[in-house]
Amino acid sequence: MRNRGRWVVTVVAVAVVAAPAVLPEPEDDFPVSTYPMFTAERGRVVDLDTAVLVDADGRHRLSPEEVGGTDEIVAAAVAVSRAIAGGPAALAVLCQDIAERVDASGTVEVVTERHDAVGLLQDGVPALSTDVHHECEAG
Amino acid sequence: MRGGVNQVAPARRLAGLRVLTGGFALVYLIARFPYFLDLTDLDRGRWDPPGVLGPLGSPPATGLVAAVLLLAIASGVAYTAGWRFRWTGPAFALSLLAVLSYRNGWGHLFHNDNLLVLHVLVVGLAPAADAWSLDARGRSEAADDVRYGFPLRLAAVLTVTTYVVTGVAKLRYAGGDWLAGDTLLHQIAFDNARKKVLGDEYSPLAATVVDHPGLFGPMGLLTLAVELGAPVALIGRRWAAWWSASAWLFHVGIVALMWISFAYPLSFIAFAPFFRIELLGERLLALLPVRRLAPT
Repeated sequence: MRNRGRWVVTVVAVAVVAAPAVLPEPEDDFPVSTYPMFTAERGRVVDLDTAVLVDADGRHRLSPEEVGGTDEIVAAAVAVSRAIAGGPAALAVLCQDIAERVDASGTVEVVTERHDAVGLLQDGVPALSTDVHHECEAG
Repeated sequence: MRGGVNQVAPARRLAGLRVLTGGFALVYLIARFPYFLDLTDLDRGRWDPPGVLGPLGSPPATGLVAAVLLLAIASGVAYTAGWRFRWTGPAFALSLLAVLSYRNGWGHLFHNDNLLVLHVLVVGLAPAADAWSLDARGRSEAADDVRYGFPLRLAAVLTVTTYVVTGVAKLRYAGGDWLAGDTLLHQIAFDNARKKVLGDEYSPLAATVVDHPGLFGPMGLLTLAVELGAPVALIGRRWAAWWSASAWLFHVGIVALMWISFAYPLSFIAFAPFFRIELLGERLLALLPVRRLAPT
């Protein structure tokens, strides 16, 4: 490859990778990305989508594997959020999937918990409110 | 950029990047093999493929996923060993791209595989097996040449570019809030709180640090300085050393405060294209029986 060819390859590669930084409305993609992580302003009070198991002993947190079928925490959270956005049919599918993954008896609740994120981390402050979207039986 | 893209380098330096990127990707693929296969059990409604998999309207069959995974591992072994590299280099680059695109095809785009894929694409399409490889056995090593230096320079430029894009995103999407520190504080609180409600491990430092909001303005500014300042790494090796160390510490900070591991930069391999990595390889080879693979 000659000098000009090397420059052309470099300029094209940089243009492709840098394009999301300059395009007016770029979409995140892979492997070329807008790298939007950590840029959203979440605020101190946050809504967290998750699922819990309720039985005679109370409410129990479920692991990402049980909630989303994956050990990727973000993927599990996104799976719940998408099901909530998808409506009753999507919620029923997710709830049933979770119920099959949970190795216990009780009621699976797909919920949105509103938390003071700082309070939750520092003192374990309970949810300010909980919105139950769907429930189904496990075990 | 000293020497522009026409940087002359020894074949061993590019070979070193081949071994490092190949070794890292192989460990990743093998360690996460069960995870990749588990993805095939996810609800098909979650399928939202990125990039090269975009045309696939539905997730590929389990057998096809397993076959591409095995192809990636087999070609990864060949890539790392430098065996029939003219074919296995591109094959590994493309199969790794396919596997990691598949990983990102389930409703959330992760951002910790991007640079690895870009580097393997560069190395896989370059003459990276002219030293320290099975292909190079019995051959005398080629003289230093720009054809070895250029891929290293390109990989370094891509490293720099991804960090700059990340910094621009913070200014573009968060703007002044990022500089004030509020966005960062709330991100750390949100991310750890989400881990807590989803029954996952979270940073033991987060609860203490969010009690000191005054720290987050300087932390936000330092983050931007590292990301937008990345081009200084192209000035020379000393600049590259300082910047790479800063970027590495920045990733250590992310682990400490958010329990999120960007393994590729944390391994330092993301920064290897800036350095004379053949020197490290030569020292290691002097200790290992595989020394005979490297003609002297």
